[in-house]
Amino acid sequence: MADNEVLSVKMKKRGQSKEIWRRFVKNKGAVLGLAFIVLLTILALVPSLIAPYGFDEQMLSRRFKAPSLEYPFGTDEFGRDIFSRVIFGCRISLTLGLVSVTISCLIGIILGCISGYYGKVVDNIIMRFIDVMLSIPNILLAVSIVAAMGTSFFNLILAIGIGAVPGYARVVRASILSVKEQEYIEAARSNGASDWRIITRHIIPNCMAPIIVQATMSIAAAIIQGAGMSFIGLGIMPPTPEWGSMLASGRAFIRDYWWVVTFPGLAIMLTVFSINLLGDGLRDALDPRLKS
Amino acid sequence: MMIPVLLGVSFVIFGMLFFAPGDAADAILGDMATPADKQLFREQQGLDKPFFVQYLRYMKGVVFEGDLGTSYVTRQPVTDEILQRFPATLKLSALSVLLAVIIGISVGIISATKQYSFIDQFATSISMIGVSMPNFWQGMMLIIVFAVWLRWFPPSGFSTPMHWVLPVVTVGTNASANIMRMTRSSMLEIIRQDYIRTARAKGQSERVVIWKHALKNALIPIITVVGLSFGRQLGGAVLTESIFSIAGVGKLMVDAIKLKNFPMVQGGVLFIAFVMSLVNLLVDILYSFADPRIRSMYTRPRTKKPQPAKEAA
Repeated sequence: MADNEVLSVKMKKRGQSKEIWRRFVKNKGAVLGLAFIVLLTILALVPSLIAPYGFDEQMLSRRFKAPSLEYPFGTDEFGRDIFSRVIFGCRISLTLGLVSVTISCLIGIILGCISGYYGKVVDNIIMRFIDVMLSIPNILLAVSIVAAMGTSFFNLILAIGIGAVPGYARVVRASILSVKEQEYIEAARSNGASDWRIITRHIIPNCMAPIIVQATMSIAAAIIQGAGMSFIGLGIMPPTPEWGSMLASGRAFIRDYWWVVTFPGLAIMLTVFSINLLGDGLRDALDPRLKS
Repeated sequence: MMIPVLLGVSFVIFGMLFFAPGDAADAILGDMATPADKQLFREQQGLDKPFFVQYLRYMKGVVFEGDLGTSYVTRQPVTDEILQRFPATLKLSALSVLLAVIIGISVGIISATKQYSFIDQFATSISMIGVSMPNFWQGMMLIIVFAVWLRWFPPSGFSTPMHWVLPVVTVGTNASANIMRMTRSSMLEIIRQDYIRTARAKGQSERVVIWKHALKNALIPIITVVGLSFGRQLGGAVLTESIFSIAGVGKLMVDAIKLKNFPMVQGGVLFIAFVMSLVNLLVDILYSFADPRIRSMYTRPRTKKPQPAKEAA
């Protein structure tokens, strides 16, 4: 009997994820986005496999070579191969996106849970704090944090992560409020489950869909923002092949050499585009009701 | 609601920059200054006082005199410098949002009324690309094509209408992507409603059905997005202004950060937060124009009996 129950639960679970996958695959754009992200991940893990040159291989004799077979994206002011630098840049942008989203996700979920579950005064305090954060434009908040703490990769990640916290806190709080009054929560409570258990085992799993969608979308936003911060000199500093800082150093030469700024930007755009496609696909697959 | 939020913003920003490592005295006076000079500077600026004393003094200046402090670099009042630069930022934001609204709403409506047609699919893919494009990179691409290759528009500055074109197009098209997506989804929801079918059934022309019956009801989320993109543009001015070398508030702040000119950074953030809350207020007022139900919450119902206690007073 007990075995049977476990089995049926398992089957139902597999059935559900299968169903989500089936809906996801139907969306061609989302699959394309996923494929491109897999490619980027490979590039980020083993860039030297594909990149024909090192990211800091300078050779002044080949400065500002136009794109050709030898240098697919051309070379920059130090004679470095832009194609190789763009490939090495994947790791930085993807790390930045993933880590900053992890930070904001964790803080946001904790704040949202406390606020939504306990309500009343705690809710009021947290939500007013969120209001304050929301009325500072994201990029300005990040700019102030980095200005205060100094420029480094970690500070940049932290600054972008903190800026995204309010979004999560609101999403989590809203879904908790909608889940909190359901019968199964009452049932769990009457079984004597602790608050911690109710939140982690019953509430969070049922709020996962909007959180996953929000997380995917905010990875894309974090990558754009990180590039922007590096562009104004508050992120990753020039010798490192970060896409935004490549744009910043190439900016002085756009009058004569268009390729120096075109390809790093194209890389940002394609990455963000495919993450957005994936996010859209996930949203439709996880919650078909939202699609109409 | 606006005032406590602004107080919170000022506290957060002030606190963050207060506890920042790096000494303002070092940054301003340079390496040549003696420790005694630095000490004197700190005393003059009140930087040796405890945190709350400094914060209260700062807020007193802000609230009663509109004084955001003195720039370390130019020794001018921060308020003056910001107000001097603000018209350019405001003009850029307003023109871009206007362009974004025109493009976004009209394309969104066409997309929604012809769902799944070629135009719709084309517009949604373009807007998806628009959302994914970093604003500052789009600006550089426009400079390369329209200023360097074609020489139609000047690449930088903001003095004449010809100078406005590239920055406004950059920001406007980027913001229009979001507005278009919201218009489309909001309209799609509305045109399935029964009252739209009723309007059509009574023989109303399609133009009136879409513009009067549907758009008016779809307006609330669209206004929200427009307000948001106006705010985002004010913050994003940090990037766009530095691309096109526009002497606005954003560029002022970027320069200030590089020199560790904290009063300027602080004042800039506070000022932009203030403008944003004004925009939010405006959005709330626009809501009540768009939706009579919201308007009725603010006006006293006409049928309500006058209360005797109030009459006496």
